[in-house]
Amino acid sequence: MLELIGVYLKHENKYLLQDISLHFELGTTYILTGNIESGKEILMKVMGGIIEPTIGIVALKGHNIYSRARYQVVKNKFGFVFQDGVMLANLSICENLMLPLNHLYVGHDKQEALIRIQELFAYFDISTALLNKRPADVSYTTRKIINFIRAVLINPEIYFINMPLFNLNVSDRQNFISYLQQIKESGKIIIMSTNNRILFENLADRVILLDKGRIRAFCQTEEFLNTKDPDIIDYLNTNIG
Amino acid sequence: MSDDFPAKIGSITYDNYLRIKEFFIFSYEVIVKMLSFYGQSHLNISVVIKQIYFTGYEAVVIISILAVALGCLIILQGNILFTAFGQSRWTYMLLVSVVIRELSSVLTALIVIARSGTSICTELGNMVINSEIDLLKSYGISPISYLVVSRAIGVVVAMFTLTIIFNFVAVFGGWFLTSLFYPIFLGDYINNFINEVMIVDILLSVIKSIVFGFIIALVASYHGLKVAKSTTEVPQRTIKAVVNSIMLIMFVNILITYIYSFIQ
Repeated sequence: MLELIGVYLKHENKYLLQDISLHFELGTTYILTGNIESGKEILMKVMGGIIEPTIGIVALKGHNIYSRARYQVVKNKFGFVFQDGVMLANLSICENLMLPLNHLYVGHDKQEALIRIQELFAYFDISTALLNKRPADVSYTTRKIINFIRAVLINPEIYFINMPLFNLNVSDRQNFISYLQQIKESGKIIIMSTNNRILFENLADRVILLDKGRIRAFCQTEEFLNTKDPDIIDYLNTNIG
Repeated sequence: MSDDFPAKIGSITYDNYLRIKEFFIFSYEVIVKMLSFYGQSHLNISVVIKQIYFTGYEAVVIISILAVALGCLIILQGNILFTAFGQSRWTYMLLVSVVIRELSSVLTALIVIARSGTSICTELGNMVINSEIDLLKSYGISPISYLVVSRAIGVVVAMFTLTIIFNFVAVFGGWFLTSLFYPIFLGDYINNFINEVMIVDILLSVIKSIVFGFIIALVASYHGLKVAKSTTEVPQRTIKAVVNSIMLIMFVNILITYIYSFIQ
């Protein structure tokens, strides 16, 4: 489905990613993990069509997502959830939620989309009164959940979720995890960047450990959590909480 | 002279070549998307309307003040200079060649650079910092179609309209202001002006306004989207956008006028 072949990313004479080759399959949940500055977020942006690699190919169903027709290749396939709940500041929450729908599904049923938004807001216990507010009027946590709802609305094939549980309270975390489980069961690919043990134990099928922009390990979650590699054991003890 | 001086010159030249190449690739992409804007779902109509309102409507007063002042000065100076030679007709030639053909589009462009060029660059720069451009890319929405084309269309429409207003106000507002302390009969003024002005003069002014509007939007957007990480880059890029826009407009103005004189 999604494939990275020999990906390198160079910025200001420094390689941020080196020799990354990965293959992602439908119905599988992946966790990207690593220390600070290991390149997790950058790799996610490279896979998500945001940052073009210096060398190498990122292919979706055999099509390079950085080709001339990049926006056609990526169209409605990717749902990206940003760590800090990025939204267009000059649009209302409702306009932000509708933004991908309006551009990817021209002529979609707006009423149906609004009903879906209300259902999702109810699920995550968010007041629909926020729909007419601007992102600046909404808390960081709520913005993050709304980011997730925006991705769910377009029903993408691949979810990229950066630090999904970071800064969420207990009930939001539970709602988030159970919704992610539903997505997983529906056969989508979920790629998460996280250091949270709950996600390792409850959702992840495979783990990618990055170290200084290189893949240190790419294996089954069980294998990763029960590894005998002293470096990975040390990483698990110090970083996975 | 140090040994690495030629290497430095070579390096600077190569860097500038890369920058110019990058700008032309960006311009090409914008032109392609602009020409196919009818079929684009990414085109943001509300941004086009807001841009026309901000760049055009809100600048009408300042443009009109400038136009009246310029028109009045040209008529006064022309009358002082040319009446002494018994060639008051030349005043109208001066009005056509200086105001209609040259300064209306250039002065309007300077005002639009100061107001809209800077604001487009700042807005896009801040959007980059806040990862809003990343957000668009992640959903397969082209930032050029969604952000740049909409603004470019808005600025071009506003520049075109403002230049027409500038010409009109400079000619008639200039007469009105001058006539307050230097009597000129309106009928004679209009007759003399019509005798001097040709369709090609108006056309030249209109062509310049469209080209300048496009340059302003393009340069401002390019520099705005070139902001990388830090908020301090935003004012630096804005200054570059202003300087580059002015330089490019002056160069293109000379080029268009040269082509016009060649055709004439």
